Amino acid sequence: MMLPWYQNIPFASIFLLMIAGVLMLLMKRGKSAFILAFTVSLTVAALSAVLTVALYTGNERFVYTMGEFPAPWGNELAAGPLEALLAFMFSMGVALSLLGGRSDAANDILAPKQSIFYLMMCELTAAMLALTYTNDIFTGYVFIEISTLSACSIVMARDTAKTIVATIRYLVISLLGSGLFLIGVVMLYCITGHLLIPQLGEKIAELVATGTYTEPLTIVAGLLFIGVAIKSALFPFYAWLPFAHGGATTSSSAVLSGLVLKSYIILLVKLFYEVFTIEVIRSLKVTNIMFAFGVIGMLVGSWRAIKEEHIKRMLAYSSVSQVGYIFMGLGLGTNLGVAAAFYQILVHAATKPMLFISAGRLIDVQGHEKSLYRLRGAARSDPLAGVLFTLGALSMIGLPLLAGFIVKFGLASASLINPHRMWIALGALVVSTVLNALYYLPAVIALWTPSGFMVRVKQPRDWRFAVSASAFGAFVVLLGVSCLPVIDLIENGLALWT
Amino acid sequence: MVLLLASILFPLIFGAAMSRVKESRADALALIGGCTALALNVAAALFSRGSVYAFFGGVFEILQVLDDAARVMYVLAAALFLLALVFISGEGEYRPRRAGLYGFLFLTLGALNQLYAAGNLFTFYLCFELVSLLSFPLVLHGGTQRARRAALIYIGFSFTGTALALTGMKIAGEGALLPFAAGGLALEAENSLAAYLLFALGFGCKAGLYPLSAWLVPAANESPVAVSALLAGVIAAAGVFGVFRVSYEVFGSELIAGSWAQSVLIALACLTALMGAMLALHEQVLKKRLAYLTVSQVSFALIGFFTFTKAGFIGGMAQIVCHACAKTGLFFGAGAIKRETGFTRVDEMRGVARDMPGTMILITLLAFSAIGVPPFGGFGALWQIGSGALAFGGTGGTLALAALVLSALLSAGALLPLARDAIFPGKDFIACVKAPPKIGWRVFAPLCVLCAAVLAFGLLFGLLGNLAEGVYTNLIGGWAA
Repeated sequence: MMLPWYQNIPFASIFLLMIAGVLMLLMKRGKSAFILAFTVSLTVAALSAVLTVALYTGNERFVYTMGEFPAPWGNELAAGPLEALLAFMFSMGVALSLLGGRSDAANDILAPKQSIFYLMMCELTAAMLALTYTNDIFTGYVFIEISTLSACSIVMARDTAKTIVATIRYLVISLLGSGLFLIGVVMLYCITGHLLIPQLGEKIAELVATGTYTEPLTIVAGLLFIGVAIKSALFPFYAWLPFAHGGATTSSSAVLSGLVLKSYIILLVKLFYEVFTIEVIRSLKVTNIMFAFGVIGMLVGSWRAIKEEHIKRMLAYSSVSQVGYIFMGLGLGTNLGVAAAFYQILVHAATKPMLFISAGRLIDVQGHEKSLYRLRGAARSDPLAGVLFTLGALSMIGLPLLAGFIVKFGLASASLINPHRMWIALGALVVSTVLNALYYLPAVIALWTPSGFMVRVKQPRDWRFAVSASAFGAFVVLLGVSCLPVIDLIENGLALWT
Repeated sequence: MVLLLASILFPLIFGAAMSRVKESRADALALIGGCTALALNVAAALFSRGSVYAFFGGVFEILQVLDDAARVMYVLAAALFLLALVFISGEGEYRPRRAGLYGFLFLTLGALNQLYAAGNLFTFYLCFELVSLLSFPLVLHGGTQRARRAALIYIGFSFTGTALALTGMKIAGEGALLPFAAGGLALEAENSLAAYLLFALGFGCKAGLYPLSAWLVPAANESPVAVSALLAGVIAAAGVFGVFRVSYEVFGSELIAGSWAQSVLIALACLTALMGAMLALHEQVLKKRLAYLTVSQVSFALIGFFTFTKAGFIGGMAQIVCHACAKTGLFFGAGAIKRETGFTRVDEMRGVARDMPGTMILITLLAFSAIGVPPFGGFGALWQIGSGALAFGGTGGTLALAALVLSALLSAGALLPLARDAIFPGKDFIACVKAPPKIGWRVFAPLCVLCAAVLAFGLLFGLLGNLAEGVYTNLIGGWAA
């Protein structure tokens, strides 16, 4: 029986990116490597968009067997509308981030190494897509490792002492997380004897029904969660993030903050939904821990951002806070909460890269100064960058008609169902909104206030930045103004998972 | 509909364009723009029918429509803005960045127009945030480090208020997002009172309701005088307007009258009134003293609204209008004194009337209105609010009346000695050599206009009262209270 042609898209996307990565080794010049990476990401984004539309209209979720090896021995990919949308988010995000950060990459990275940088970017994108599509838990682990290594390389691409130190810190902490995840996978395999997610789900349902292995299951759920929490910078495992993201080149910061952190969370949610089922997770109290850490992370991230003077590190602390929003949504334990968390994933993937790319451009026009004090007036030299940075800041603060408002509204709605958590969640949203305003608004004011630091030489226009950041801006406004189709898609996709 | 849209969009576009204007032409352009905005607002207030409607995301709708209360506020806001523009153009300060100040003033006016014309809670919330965002650069124009700090405090409190309002919006549910309806939208009472309290506190932040009142004094003190005047007059009025909308047109008197939420809010308003007046007594910096009095006197309007009686409502509306005019005038007066003599502290201002007699007399008359001396408008407003408190009845009503009277007396104690010392400095006062006057007609004229306005409001209080009574009857649907 012939498969519908679009069912090949998941595998094709991952494979294209990996082949492109290998082909990078043939590219001598950074520019050719960039063009290849950008084109391939954009192609994968287009394919993912087609797949999303096809699966959403048909409301189907299919499983793609690799080779002719049937379950439970073979490897599988599973794709529904939600996975396809997330794949689109990842590939489009990478493509636009590479475009917007190209001038910085050309300056920051040594010429012979640029093709390796784009190789790592392609591998990283392939790994993120694989984490979204995979139906096998050990494949998930393998791609977690691949993404960790490529993520470390793209941090290190900018060859300074600080980034190398930051990379080593990131590597060690990240591998700790992966190690814990692996122990969880191994224990799960020992208990159930399966690696494919559907089979694991059935087996775990049997075990829960008979009441055997309750402590090991709790430990497994806990290990998987902690492993992912370490890698996605949830409180208290966030100390590595500001220096890794703050020091890297613009494309790297954008991809790391906006996309990489989320790929692990998506895998975790998939495992919790399909392997454990959400009721079991709730009974194991993992949701309580996610909620608590999420709320604290929201507040601590913003608090540290207020005192931060370096603009990219301030944005990195803001990412810590936004990841807290995601985990708070997941920790509410309801479908509505998870849907709100996924909406935040999409919104943050559009907003944070836009902020980083605009910040990168503003740093460039102001003579590579990075502190907010010396960046005063930078927006006057490149008004588009200033406007888009302001747009991102207003979205983070939660101005209605922008995407950030829908996120806050959605999280608040989701928390209403659970009376115990409602007041904590609402209070945390109130405090975190005020804290966000207290560092984003002064930054915006500083960027627009004319000052003696403004560089007098007229800066050449950077069309790549303009196209990339405007595209992100369009997504931010789109997600703010027409949220219902996306929310509908997310809820349908989640329904297909259970 | 076109008039409504034009009255909202014109100030916004004009304000954005002002940033590109050359300094030398900024004054003239601003005055022309201000007159046009006033004309548009008055035309919209008189002739606008129909609404502007936009639908977003399947859930949120933006609705702009003018009802009677909004028409009054439209005229008030545009008139006060024009007077502020005249004042700034005559003041001779802020030379290098005047175009920026004008620009943000117009942007704020546009956002305020949109806020008054908001037809449902979501639109009101959006405009509330926009007003906060667009008005805090006005505070920054004070230019000092303390102004920056005051602006950050302003943002912090404003966004706390906004976030509280958002929480209230979520708790109140989907029904609260329907267009404003007289008598309230029928909402289930389970968490509605808590939601109402959150809204009242959130929108009341702009009106200086305790506990979110601490932003007003630093912001009014550190910003340029015209900005302080507008903060104390029009923007505080926007906060009170928000409380009014939420109380009467979203939750409705049936739900709130007699409940614990009403008692809490009246208590908070009385506390604010007393606190503001007491703190004003000892404050020596004149702008800060006026700011504390603003906190106190805006709460009078809130007390009036929270009693849910006809007299209280009339008093509340009248107090918004009269207080906005009187306080704006008093701030202009403080600015005039500073410009003419350089004095900012009250204890320096003995005998100031010798140098500026006309201005000082106008300031005294405006102070009479603020305190509540007949025949000025403030007296009528206070009288109605007091009647409303009595009609509210019980210990609460008596305590509220006592708080009102006490606050009025304390405000008198804060303002009258200033006037007395300025006009009658005493035998031991040594006069300085009279310097040539520095303030021109552009500083003096707004004071005249405002003084005439409060006098007119007072003498023609019946007119104002009838208007307010008409609004009230529409809202409550013929309740006699």
